[in-house]
Amino acid sequence: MNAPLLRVENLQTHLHLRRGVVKAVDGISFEVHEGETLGIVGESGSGKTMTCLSILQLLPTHGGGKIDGSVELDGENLLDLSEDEMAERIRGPKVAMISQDPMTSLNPVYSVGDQVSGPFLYHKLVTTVRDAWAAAANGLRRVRIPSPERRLKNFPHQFSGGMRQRVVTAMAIACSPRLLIADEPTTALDVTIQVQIMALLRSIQKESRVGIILVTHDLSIVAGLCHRIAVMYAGRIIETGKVRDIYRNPQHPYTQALLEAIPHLGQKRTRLAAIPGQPPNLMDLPTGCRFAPRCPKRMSVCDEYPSATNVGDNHVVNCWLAAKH
Amino acid sequence: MSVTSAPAPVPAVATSGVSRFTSRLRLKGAPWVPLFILAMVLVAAIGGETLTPHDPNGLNLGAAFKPPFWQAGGTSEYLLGTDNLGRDVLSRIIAGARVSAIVSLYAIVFSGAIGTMLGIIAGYFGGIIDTIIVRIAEIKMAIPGLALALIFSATMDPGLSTVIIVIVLTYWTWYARIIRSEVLSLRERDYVAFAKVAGCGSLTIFFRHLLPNIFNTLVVLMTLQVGQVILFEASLSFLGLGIQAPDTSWGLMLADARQYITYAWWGITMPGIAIMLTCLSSNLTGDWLRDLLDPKRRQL
Amino acid sequence: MGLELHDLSKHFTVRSDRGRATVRAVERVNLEIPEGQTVALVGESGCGKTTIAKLVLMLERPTAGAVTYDGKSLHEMSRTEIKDYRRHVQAVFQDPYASLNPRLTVRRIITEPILAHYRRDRATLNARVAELLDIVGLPASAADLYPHEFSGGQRQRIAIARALALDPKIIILDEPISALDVSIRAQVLNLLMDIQEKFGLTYLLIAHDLALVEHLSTRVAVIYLGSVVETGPSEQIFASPRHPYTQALLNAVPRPDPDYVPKAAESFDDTGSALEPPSGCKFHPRCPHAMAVCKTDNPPLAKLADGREAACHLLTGPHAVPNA
Repeated sequence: MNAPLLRVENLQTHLHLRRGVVKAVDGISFEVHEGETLGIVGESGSGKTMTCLSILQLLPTHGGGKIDGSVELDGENLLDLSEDEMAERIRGPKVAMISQDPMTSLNPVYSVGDQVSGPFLYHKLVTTVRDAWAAAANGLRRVRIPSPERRLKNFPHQFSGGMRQRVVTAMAIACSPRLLIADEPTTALDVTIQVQIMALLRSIQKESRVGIILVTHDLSIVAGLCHRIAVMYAGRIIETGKVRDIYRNPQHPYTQALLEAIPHLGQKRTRLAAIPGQPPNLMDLPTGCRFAPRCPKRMSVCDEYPSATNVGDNHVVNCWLAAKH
Repeated sequence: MSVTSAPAPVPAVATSGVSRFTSRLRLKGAPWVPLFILAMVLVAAIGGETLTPHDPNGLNLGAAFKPPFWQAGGTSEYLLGTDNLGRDVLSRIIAGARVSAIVSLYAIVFSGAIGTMLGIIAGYFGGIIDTIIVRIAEIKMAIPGLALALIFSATMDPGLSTVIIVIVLTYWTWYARIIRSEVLSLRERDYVAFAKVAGCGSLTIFFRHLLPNIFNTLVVLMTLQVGQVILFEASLSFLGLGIQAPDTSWGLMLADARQYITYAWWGITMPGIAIMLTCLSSNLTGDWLRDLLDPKRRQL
Repeated sequence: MGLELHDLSKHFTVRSDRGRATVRAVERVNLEIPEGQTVALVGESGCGKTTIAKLVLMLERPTAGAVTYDGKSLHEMSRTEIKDYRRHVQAVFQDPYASLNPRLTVRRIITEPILAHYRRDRATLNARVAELLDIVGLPASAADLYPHEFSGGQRQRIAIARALALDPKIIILDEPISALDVSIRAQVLNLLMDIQEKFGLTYLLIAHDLALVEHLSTRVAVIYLGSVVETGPSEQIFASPRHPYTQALLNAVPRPDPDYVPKAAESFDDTGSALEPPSGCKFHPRCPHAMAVCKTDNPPLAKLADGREAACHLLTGPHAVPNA
């Protein structure tokens, strides 16, 4: 078993606001290996986006955010690095991110060529602007944009949503990073384009063995791309395992509920098993299991936070029900 | 009678609109000094002659050019000194506050009302009406305010009413443009679409949906305009196109004292400071109000 | 009778780099929305389904063709007839954060449609508000609160209560749950199904989530670049899609099954532009079965043997290929 590319241990991201402390990420640990895709699944407020931003240390500046724990990339703890070191050595060459909305990821007043050639120049992978543009054209070719040299001169508004996401992907992989974080990359896109972007990420991973963290709320797209899944709820990971195990044998009631609560093709006009209630307020979390207030299988012992139980081949769940068996 | 099985929990604190507004007022860091200054101007405007230590128009050549009380030669009788005709500077400033306040009030109310109405009509109806209103505004904006003032003074008697008319004609475009773009974006909101789907008429939509949501912007615009209006009136009066003697205005004080600046600096500086403080205070208050009323800031 | 679309078209003129151009957002759409059914319009972004919804709600005027209700064209109706129409046809929009006026209480939001049509005293109004809140599963105390005090799912319930206020017959649902959290969607979906049954409502559903559409709808119309390419009972369409675009759409939908990998269409051009649609059949550049005639002739929507309708040269007309 080789060493993991990324090892996150007890990551905590707390936002200190005037009204209180929002425990956006409250002690999570996971690993990503080379050439592997980890899917982080959760709803809004689960902490999945904050996790990505914490790895890259891109928290909003007036958030009053504090990050604790360790984030080791190839053995080096990123949280120990200064902002300059992060900007020069890590963001781009080692870790890159694709976000949800391709419309706001690209600057509308610069040409695509300017933007895609940027990372090459900034991280000194080339010396001249001409070389940078040539590298940018290659980048566009890698993400299968036709006539890349011509399209370098175009502006973002001249591309459709799916194309823009490809451009953003080209920028992200420009410096051949070791880890790629994709935060809901296809939520804003049509389903036929979604498939293409997923296929693109798969092919990039095959070529370069990059590790991918795919963050999403959609359990269906996770299936096609991910090897392992971590399910997050209210700032904590409540279940992790291989994709097949999570789908065929979900252990945590929240995971089970998620799978039953979404309509799947092939199902028809039956009542969906709705999850009652609302996700908890992150400033006022219960001390026990955070899903307990909504859990159909809740027991009295759930007032104490459940420890991790190993239920199979690297299939770990935080639930007293699993601990019992 | 309930059809669903999952009644949703509802927030425990039920607050009315007014109490939410005042609780927010208390929480934020209000700019106390600017608010105090504006309050003082208001008090001066209302109190007028009853508050002045001396008659603002009382000539007393024997007491001319007395410096402020902290300088050699000054007395505590004339705290801020006297001008070339022996009139107490402090009293004239207090009296002048009334002019500033009246001009601000009328100018803001009228230009605000006209500008807002035209802005809403242009933004909501669009099409040819919008084009016409925007063209008129653009033509008007091509004419400098002072030039307009000159034209008006030539045809009408200079004085308070003329100043107000000129200001209204100059500033309505400012409101119209900003309110128009607010309305353009509000018009596309789903709740406006729903009101149409529900069968509401245009007038109902104006008053129920557009106006209240423009209110925030309007309040901020009005506060910011106070400073501009006072400066404009001062400029007009300074040029002789506005307030005329025996009425007092800060601008007029500037004009009268200009030639004596080298040996009676207080004559021009004191009204200048009054103008500056009032403008600054209204701008800071406007900034604070804008941040306070901005719904996006409600989240954190 | 009921709601029908006849040869409905809507064109927009836009200014592009080359001067004025016409966007054919909706192009000669024919559709029936039978009473008590849920008819879904599916298609990708830019296909025109939202524009169709706006035409039905009279938020836009058609360029050609008509929307008819009980046989009468909407744009030939008198003011009283329009008011009647508005009482019968209501809407729930996509974004729960934008569809409620933040300055109004829930009570005023819900009673707005009622007050647009009737004069009622306060007691009757309050009783009706309490009744509607109960139907959507919110407590009566919600009436005096403001929208920002509620979560997305709760706001959507308020929007549903508002849509029910006039006891409508037809509700247009524009992506009713896509902006909600996954664990909340099922709640609102169940609510929509329950009230449809209880009040005998007819739904026109605009959605891009095909699984949702299969779950909720009885009839489906698949729209591509403004035209209907396939329509029929949803069981039929989902079980055996015939039009190549419908097939591509269904193949692309991911499923929560680790062994299922959705198939990517080969071409990389995203959905063609409505500004410069291809000649002939609009789908032909992306169609794996395109024939010569597809480049020149736009196939009309025609009936197939099993009762559904499709617009494809492969399936109907002289060039049809049996068992395609």
